[in-house]
Amino acid sequence: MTLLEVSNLTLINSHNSQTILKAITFSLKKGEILGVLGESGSGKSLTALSILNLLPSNLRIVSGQIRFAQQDLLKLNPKDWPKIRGKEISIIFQDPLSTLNPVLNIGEQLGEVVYYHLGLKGSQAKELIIKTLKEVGISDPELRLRSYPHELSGGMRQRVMIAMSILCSPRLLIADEPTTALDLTIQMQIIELLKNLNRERELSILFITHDLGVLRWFAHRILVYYQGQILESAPTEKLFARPLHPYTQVLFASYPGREKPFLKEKFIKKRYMPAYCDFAYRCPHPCKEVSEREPPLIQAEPGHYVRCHLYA
Amino acid sequence: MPNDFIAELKGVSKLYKIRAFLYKKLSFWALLDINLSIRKGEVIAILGESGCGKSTLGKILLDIEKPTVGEVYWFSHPLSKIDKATYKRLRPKIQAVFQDSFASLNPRFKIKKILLEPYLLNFPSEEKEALEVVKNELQSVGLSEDYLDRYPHELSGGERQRVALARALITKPSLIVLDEPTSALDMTIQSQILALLKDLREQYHLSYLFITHNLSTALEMADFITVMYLGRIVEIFPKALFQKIEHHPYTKLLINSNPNPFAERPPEVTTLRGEPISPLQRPKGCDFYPRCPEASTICQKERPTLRSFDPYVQIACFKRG
Repeated sequence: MTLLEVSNLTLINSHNSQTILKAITFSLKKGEILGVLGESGSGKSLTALSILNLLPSNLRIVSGQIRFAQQDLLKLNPKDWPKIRGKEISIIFQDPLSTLNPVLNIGEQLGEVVYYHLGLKGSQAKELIIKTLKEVGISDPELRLRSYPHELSGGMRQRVMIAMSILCSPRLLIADEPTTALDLTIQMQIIELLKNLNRERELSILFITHDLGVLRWFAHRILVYYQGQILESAPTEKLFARPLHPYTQVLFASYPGREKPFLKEKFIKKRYMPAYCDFAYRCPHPCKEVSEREPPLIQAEPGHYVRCHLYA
Repeated sequence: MPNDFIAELKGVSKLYKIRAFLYKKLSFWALLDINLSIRKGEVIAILGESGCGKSTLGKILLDIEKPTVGEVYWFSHPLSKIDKATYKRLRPKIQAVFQDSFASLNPRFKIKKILLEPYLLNFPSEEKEALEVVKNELQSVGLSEDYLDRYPHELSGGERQRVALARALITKPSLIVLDEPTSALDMTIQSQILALLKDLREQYHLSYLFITHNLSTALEMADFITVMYLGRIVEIFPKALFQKIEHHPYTKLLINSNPNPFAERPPEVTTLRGEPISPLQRPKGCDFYPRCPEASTICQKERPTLRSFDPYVQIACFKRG
């Protein structure tokens, strides 16, 4: 069952009318972990923010549709957003210290969420909170309710954030680089936790990261972003077995210890070469078609899509 | 006695004092009993998580921080007894490149000035000649002359890191301390910088002290890998033996936490207890025993010291050997 469907989402910066997201199209099934892979500035986080209607005011969605469980989120009445955001779709960010409120203790912050979305108070609320904190692997949850965010370690804080995001049993969790700020050994604990939540609660996860290793062993399907466009999308196994787009190939080759056939990348200045393909300036397989028309989206194998002239 | 060591740390420990609430003073050992030597042309990686003292080690080696106990040697000269003239001669031989290139380049200087200043300071010469050297150096890090008149904010992260590298190279160093030089960069740019570092090493016979938290980067760059935990070295091994030896439990943990996307099988799920402990509450026995999956009673009481296994492998663990 398709839970989230984004089609032709185009986002522009209304200050300089620069296109930030170009016809982003993907869908997310129930219980699926969809990985979004891309370098900084490729538009992965803005996709997440568009889904939650949290975009900064200078960015404008000019076309497209975001359907979540039969509802068109772009046409949603502002009154109805609280029923979706934080309840049906929740999000965790990279830095838990700046997303938790420093002057409220953990119990108060989690209690607020429960009261706002579910209307629970007192012992009922406490019960739910303690159960959820246990589920995310926090020891002595009753004691922790009285701690403040600064008293917890980075890994603990991220667990509290995850607890907060699953309190209302959402159907979709957006995780925006949730492990980037954590230590290596803690990172894997958090990934294991998210995996368990996905298995036990059938929670769908949109997982945004630039870490190949994490995605390889965590995501079911991967979207490869480059400069606001999805260049390739495929089931994880297929993508790693046979990356098709030259960018994906360059990206994989740049992993330490891999052979580097593309190291002598030529950087052609944008102004010298007008092209419809954003990667053309760095592409190891230059083609003539890029100056004539947009690269088409091609299904190379069932479920494996690539946006490149090479496979036309 | 002359030897081919560029820099050595002998029994180095570093105590940091921090002010806690009001007038309460706290202190902790950021580094404990570090022995390390770097030969000419050698690349040594320091691997560890945040707070393990790897950057402090780099700073002590660079003489930015003084050790509380122990001695730092540059080309066999102990730094506590070195005379001014020798110090001035050796200082440019050991250079550094840090993670955040934006913070380490003066925003008000053009690239020309950033590179000219250290050169003229160490090699007094005509500005015209110096400019030639600067141009050459820029070329060797893969930038063209056009960059001379730009300011740091006009460059991308990768280009700035190249400038930082050119500035380190311009004093003709023997050793460069690289403190997480690629951690702030995108993956494709990271691999370009790593490739450049390798080329430069060949070209100038450089030694690197490569500080990183990323195992795969360490394996790509280094000849020897030094693993640190809570201010102590827990393992030293040559890259060639990476697959062949039984590692320290902490190193094993690091290996499993850094899943290789191109491996055949998924990484082992590690049964890891707890979180890194703060050096303020150092346990009595082995520093790692509260989290160690292999810990036994001896680990709780005594502290293991580094023992040699192979001429090149040293591990601090009771459970090995």
